[in-house]
Amino acid sequence: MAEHHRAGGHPAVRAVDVSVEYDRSREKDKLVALENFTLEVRAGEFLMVVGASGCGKSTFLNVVAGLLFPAKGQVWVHGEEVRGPGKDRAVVFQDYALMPWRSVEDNVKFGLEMQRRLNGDTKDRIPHYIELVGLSGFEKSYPRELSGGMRQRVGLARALATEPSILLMDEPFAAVDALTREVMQEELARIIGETKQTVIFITHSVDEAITLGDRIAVVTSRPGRIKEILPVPIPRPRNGREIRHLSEYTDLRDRIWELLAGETRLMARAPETTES
Amino acid sequence: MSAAAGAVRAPKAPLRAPKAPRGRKRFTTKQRVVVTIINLAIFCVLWQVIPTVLDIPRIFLPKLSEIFAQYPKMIEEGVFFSNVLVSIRIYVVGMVMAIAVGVPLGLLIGGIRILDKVLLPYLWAVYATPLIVMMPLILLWVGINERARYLLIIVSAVPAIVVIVMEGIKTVEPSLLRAARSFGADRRVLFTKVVIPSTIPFIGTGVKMGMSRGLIGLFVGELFTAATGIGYVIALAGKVFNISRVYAMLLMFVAFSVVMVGLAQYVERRLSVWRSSAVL
Repeated sequence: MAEHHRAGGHPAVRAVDVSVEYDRSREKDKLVALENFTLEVRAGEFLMVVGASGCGKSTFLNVVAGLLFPAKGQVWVHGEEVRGPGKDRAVVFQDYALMPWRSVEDNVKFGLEMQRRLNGDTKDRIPHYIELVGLSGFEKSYPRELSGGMRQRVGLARALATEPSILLMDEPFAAVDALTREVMQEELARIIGETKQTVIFITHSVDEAITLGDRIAVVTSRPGRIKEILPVPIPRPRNGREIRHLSEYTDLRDRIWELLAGETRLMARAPETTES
Repeated sequence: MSAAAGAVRAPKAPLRAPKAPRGRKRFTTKQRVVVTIINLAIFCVLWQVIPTVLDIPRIFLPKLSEIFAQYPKMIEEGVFFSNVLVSIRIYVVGMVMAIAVGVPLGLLIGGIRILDKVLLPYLWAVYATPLIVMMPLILLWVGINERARYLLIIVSAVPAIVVIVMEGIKTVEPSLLRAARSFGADRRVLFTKVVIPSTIPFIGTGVKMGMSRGLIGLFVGELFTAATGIGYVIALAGKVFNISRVYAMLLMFVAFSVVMVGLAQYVERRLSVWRSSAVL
């Protein structure tokens, strides 16, 4: 965990008293997705945000990404207030959001192109990131020719290629099958070990949170608030299957479940199924 | 990337899965050509013998051989190539103008919400109305000349192109727009790199629809306002009861339409390859 930390003045992300409301078209009242959400993300850490579905954790990510503006509160990234998307952040989406008319290679270029930063220098990194996510040989393939896991590799490479200091991951592996998910988790841990980015990773899977995170922020059900932040006391590199038998793992898992279980009942929703 | 990646690196070839034949046998290209030729041959033979066998008056259906005999006759009279070429030229030029106006107009109106909201009902009205009602006005405005014929093609084709391109813009995946925005795309980049590329299949469809509507515009124009063109020859031959010539030129028009719509279909298909099985 220690090597993931970076010395430095400002936290990577600081959110203070953030509230987000959505208009509901059919109802008069507003839907409060986040309320007084306060969280500090350390530079270089891998922070997992875990909560039941609909708790507002993705909303928080969108606020940090600059895609959504809070009704109240403020968010700073590296000490600067967020006023929209920026080159220091990149998002990996649950639904991949790849351009279907672009090949793998051109999709990986996409982020740089949107930022108007695609030039000789930045073009040279494309093959590196394609290789990093294990897609060498698929440069000319189109998204429709790829499996879900491979598509998300493209999504990851697209985000990494812009070399953001903060990687925002919105349930990136929720739509891939369980086997692929484990492989992807291991590789993500390896890749971030190399690139040393700050990661905010949204998930509803407790196991995923423990396997990947340095710290885990447990979010209450709507309106979303931080209930507790728990460090993961398991050294890296972690093997998803092996660490599951450690007492640190099972203790932490029970603790998170306890925190979430009360919340899930409050939601009056079917609890999410887990994969274990 | 060892064994783990191997597991994910799914088979590459079968992903371009053959479309399910749904119980129907698929022909090879060669077989299809043969079938088409046989099909056409049977059709021609039937056309040749049915007027005689059923004793159909020539004015309704001349024998095919009489119709074909018109081609050398028309060439001899010097009315064949000149008129066919005029039709082709007017259609092609008219369509190029219609596409050049329609596609950018559709993108513009579809891309600007307020324009879309305000203009959509009018565009639909124009799209739904048969252009024939515009005929007297167009003749009044520009007179009976070539400009009227271009205008008829444009008036027929543009609304279809505009409406379909506009609808296409509305189908842009919100998740793709969000992804582009997350990287800080400004409006212009968003439009050129996300909205337009994802609308391209609809541009293809719009152009195809416009081309078949443009054919109607061409024909109407030639029948009523022209002193040249396939339609004009048909109208003239009809007036003097030269039924074989009417049929001969109608067949030319059919052939021309089939080629044009086929071409449009080909372009449309090429433009939407990435839509996988959604459209094809």
